[in-house]
Amino acid sequence: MVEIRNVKAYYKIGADLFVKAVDGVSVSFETGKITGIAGESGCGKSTLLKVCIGWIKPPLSVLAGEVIYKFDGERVNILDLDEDSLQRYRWNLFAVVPQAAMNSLNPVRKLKKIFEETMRKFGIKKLTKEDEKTVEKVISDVGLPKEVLNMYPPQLSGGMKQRIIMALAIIAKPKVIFCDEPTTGLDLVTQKGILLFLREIKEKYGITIVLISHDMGVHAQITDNLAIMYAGKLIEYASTKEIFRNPLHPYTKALINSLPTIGEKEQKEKLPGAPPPLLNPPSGCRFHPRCMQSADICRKEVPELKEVKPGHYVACHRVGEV
Amino acid sequence: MSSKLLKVRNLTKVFRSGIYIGVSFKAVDDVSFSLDKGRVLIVVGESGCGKSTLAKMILGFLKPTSGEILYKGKNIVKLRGNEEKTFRKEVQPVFQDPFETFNPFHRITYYFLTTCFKFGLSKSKDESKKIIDDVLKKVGMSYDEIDGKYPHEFSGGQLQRLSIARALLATPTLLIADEPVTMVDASARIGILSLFMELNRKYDMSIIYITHDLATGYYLASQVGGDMIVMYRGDVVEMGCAEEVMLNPLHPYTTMLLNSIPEPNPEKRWEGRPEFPSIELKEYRFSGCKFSKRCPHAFSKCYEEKPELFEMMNGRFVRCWWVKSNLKINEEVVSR
Repeated sequence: MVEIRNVKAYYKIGADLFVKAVDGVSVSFETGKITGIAGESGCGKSTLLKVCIGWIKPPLSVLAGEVIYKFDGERVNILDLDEDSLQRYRWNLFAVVPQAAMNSLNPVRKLKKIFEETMRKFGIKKLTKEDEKTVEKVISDVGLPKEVLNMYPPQLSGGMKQRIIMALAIIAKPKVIFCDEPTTGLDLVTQKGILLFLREIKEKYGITIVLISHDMGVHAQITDNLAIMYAGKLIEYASTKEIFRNPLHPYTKALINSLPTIGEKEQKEKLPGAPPPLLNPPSGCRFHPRCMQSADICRKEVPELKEVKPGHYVACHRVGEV
Repeated sequence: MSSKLLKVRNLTKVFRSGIYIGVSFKAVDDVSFSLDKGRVLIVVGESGCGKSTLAKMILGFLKPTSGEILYKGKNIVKLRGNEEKTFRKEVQPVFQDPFETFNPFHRITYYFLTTCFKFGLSKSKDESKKIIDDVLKKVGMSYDEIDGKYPHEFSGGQLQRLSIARALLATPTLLIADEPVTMVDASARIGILSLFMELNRKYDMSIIYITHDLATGYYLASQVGGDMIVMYRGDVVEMGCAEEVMLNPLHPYTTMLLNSIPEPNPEKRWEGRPEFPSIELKEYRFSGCKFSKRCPHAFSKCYEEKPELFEMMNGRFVRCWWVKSNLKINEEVVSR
């Protein structure tokens, strides 16, 4: 399990200016489950991922909080580690599929070389016959023929490159994989393939997956639990089915109700306004300027994330009242 | 014939690469359709199906290899002088990425003022401001809101609204929107789509809405009606009334696309193992049906001969041998 406790991660952009990208978020990612993080652009979901993997480079700084990985009796706080010990955990404790990762493959290296370079990171000098077998196995896991190893990245389509990235991520059998918008920019049919593949490796290897996406449809299809973020805050967390069946936060409701579905004819509601700037977020509940149900308390006090039902957490003053 | 606003006939665009022994492929292959005034046309397809190339040709940015585009009965390639100016004014684009539409070094008002100036819409700056304020009202903003601001001060949804407002400044009759909501946040998407609906209803504006997102395409069609074209590798594979195409797809490719939409309902999840399509340049030059390699219903004829766009029922066209041989509805209608 990965536990995030009260993380505050700000981008420093001036002497006293901070972009509060992640502001007091606590959430845990259950072992062997796919946890989705949903939210609009600029809500802090990618920053949260950076904190989770200890990728903290200026101007980003973590002001408070801890990220604890608990696996096989081991307990590590990622934020306490220095670069060297962090390196030990990369790839085999956690792997990352960053946004637009398919464009990061070196175009003048054969894929075989790319795999070799990656495996060198965890102490393999030269690929033995056995290592080659491992590479071939992950390649076939993602549904590609082993001939692609002798090809260069530009010879592959976007979907194939994304699958290579997935293969690289699972090669050291990590316990957790973080995927940041893994299917954005891919075709529908390819997207379905990639998502089903994620579900398959979860079931096959029991890998914990954290999936960041702005697409609620993607979350509905494959995630087990869902965390909704808004303007740097976690506002709702529950099982995916529960969130879609019974959304409690007004923002989550608006997000779900605005999704067009084929076969449904009624006019969808639109949410007025735009997400607030994180440099100077609104006081109290950050959603209150756009919220239809906001009251006085919403303007003054920041709502806490409370468990309103077993396993269903919401940060809203007015929940249950309206 | 003259009642048609836009008529596209046998439009083909061939792209070549290489100098001597070049590879050429048809990005858009023999596409024909027509659009009446005040109608909405939805073009769907995956990346590389030629939908953006089609848009660029209609906008006059790309010259077709063969075929013609008739706007109000006139071939747009041959327009000169004032006629060309009117065409440029009446056919306006809305692009995919609102962050790239605007130059970050210019104030937003710069775009509006230059558009006013270019099309000779006003004589003085004050007059321009009034006109600009009027179009901004249509998209739910005002001149004071944007005065002196730079693009980075707006969100994606707002920028897309501004981009639409700029297009509206020229009082277009036809709006060509290439993936207008793809880069916009989910909560702002419905707002943009509602705006298109309003423009269509209130001002009788024709819209060509190009997208890979079938759900937003369906939503637009279900509210204002309209036709749909499904493209695959440069071919039109299915064409007809948008709602019917979505609810009752005939071509196996349309069915496959519809089944791949991540439906926002966790009770209805996909089943089965991951399957990946093999996307290859070869498909563009395939002599048979371009979809045959991926088609679950393909039989020998599909690999050998390219199907035509058959009319299956009134106004419904499908490019498929399998549908043709299995669905013999309204045979007389076809022969008539």
